[in-house]
Amino acid sequence: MDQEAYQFSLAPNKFRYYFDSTNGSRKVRKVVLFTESEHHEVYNLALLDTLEDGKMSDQTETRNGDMITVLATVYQIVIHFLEQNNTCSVFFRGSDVRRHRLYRIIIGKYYRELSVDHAILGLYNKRILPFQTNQSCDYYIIEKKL
Amino acid sequence: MKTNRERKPDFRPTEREIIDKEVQALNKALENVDLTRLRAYSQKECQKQH
Repeated sequence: MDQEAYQFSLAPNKFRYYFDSTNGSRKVRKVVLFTESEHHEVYNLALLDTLEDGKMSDQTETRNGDMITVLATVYQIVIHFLEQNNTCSVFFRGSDVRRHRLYRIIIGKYYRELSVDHAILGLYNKRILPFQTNQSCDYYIIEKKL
Repeated sequence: MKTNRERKPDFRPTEREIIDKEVQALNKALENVDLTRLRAYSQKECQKQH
């Protein structure tokens, strides 16, 4: 994915990354959090916006006209996380139907590139299967090939 | 200046609440899922390449 991405920073706890989505003078701090589930080395990825009052939201639409740059940045962050934690699996889904479908389209578009070093899977009705472009899944899963 | 009583309650979730909700949803989605398939795929695909 050679799309332009934002510079990102990593917080000391290693599971929190942040970057700024910018459009002119408008700047929105984005936070990417990896949180371990009750299953060992299975992590949830969350993308949150910092609101003007400092609160966080996973529902707001930033409307900064930089969606591809934001997703490219999240992709770089996932790759970085998996470099540091190469036996972990990262699960994520869109916070609404539209975003979830959008992620499927983007993963499908970059699948060949993504799958060189990473296994791209999906959770399909309680079954973990290789990612399928034309079938909706409950979660997308990325892990580093060992 | 508004007192605490006059302020409207803020029902927006905190970061912790958002994350807890997301992780709970993931835990629920993973109930009865064979997680051994996770590493199996990445290793199998790797073996195919070598």
